[in-house]
Amino acid sequence: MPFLAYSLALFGHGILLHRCRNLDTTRLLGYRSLPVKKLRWLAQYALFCVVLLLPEIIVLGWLTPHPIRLVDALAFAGLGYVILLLLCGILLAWTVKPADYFKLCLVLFGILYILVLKTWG
Amino acid sequence: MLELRQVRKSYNDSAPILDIAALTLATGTYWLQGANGTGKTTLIRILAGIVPFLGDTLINGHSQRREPVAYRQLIGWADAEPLYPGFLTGQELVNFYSRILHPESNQIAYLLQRLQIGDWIGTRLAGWSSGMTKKLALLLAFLGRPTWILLDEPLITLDEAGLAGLLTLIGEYRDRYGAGFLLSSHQLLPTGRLPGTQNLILINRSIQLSS
Repeated sequence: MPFLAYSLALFGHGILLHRCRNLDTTRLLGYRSLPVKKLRWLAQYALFCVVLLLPEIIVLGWLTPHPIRLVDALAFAGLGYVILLLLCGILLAWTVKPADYFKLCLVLFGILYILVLKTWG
Repeated sequence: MLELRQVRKSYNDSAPILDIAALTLATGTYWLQGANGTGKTTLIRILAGIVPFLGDTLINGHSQRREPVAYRQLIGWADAEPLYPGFLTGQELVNFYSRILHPESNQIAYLLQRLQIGDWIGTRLAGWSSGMTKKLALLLAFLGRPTWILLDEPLITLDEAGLAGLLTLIGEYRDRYGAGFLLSSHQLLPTGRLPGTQNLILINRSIQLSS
């Protein structure tokens, strides 16, 4: 059950990522013409993912070591971060319509939830 | 000097909208004309480093592919119909650009005065008119020391005072700093404005120098 809530939170962060990318491509287009290293630009997205995940990290901190073991908490946080980075990569590499992105998120988090239930359930 | 080498751009695997084998523009002012849909905005955005393309563009020998940061330091760009986050104030956006471009201390005040947006700069961009937003885009394009300034449809939505300020700025940057300008429009350059400007025509996916 806690992971279901965690998955829903990640799903919400995925939508925020899409909004952020949309802002980048429509209202901050000029940033791409500025002398900023691509690595820095990518690092800013990676940092944004960390910021998005902060509430979950704090909650996981409260729940550790009981009822969630430290190793499981680290696995949850790491998994969440990797998922957000994956979504970020998809958004940066392709232009994805909101409806398609929504479906992609649903499928991704569905698979994730099933995998977690099989592993920890 | 601005160079284009084997520049090719197409959208969604369709026929290319631009196919320019080679083009070299000496520093100067160029008025790029073309009908709607001929690729003016795409070309300006390619040169500004905003859209991906095949080939390469160079400014004073700096390649966009090999030296993207050095190349972008030499570019100023303003979109035809610029959009900015409405939750920011004009000043916050200018500060954001300034942290990257490091303009001289008095340059911002000078540009604000020339483009007459000083009274609005502290307010949120959500409440700005399209003309005021255009002036802000122009200010950001002139910020720092760009060698080439690329302005897409620079005359639209500007009032007479804004237009006069822009033309003065172009003249000053050209004469004082030796900046080059590429201005795109589907219209002819109004007679008597910007003397010494050369006309370019975008036709059949390529650029021709017009007499």
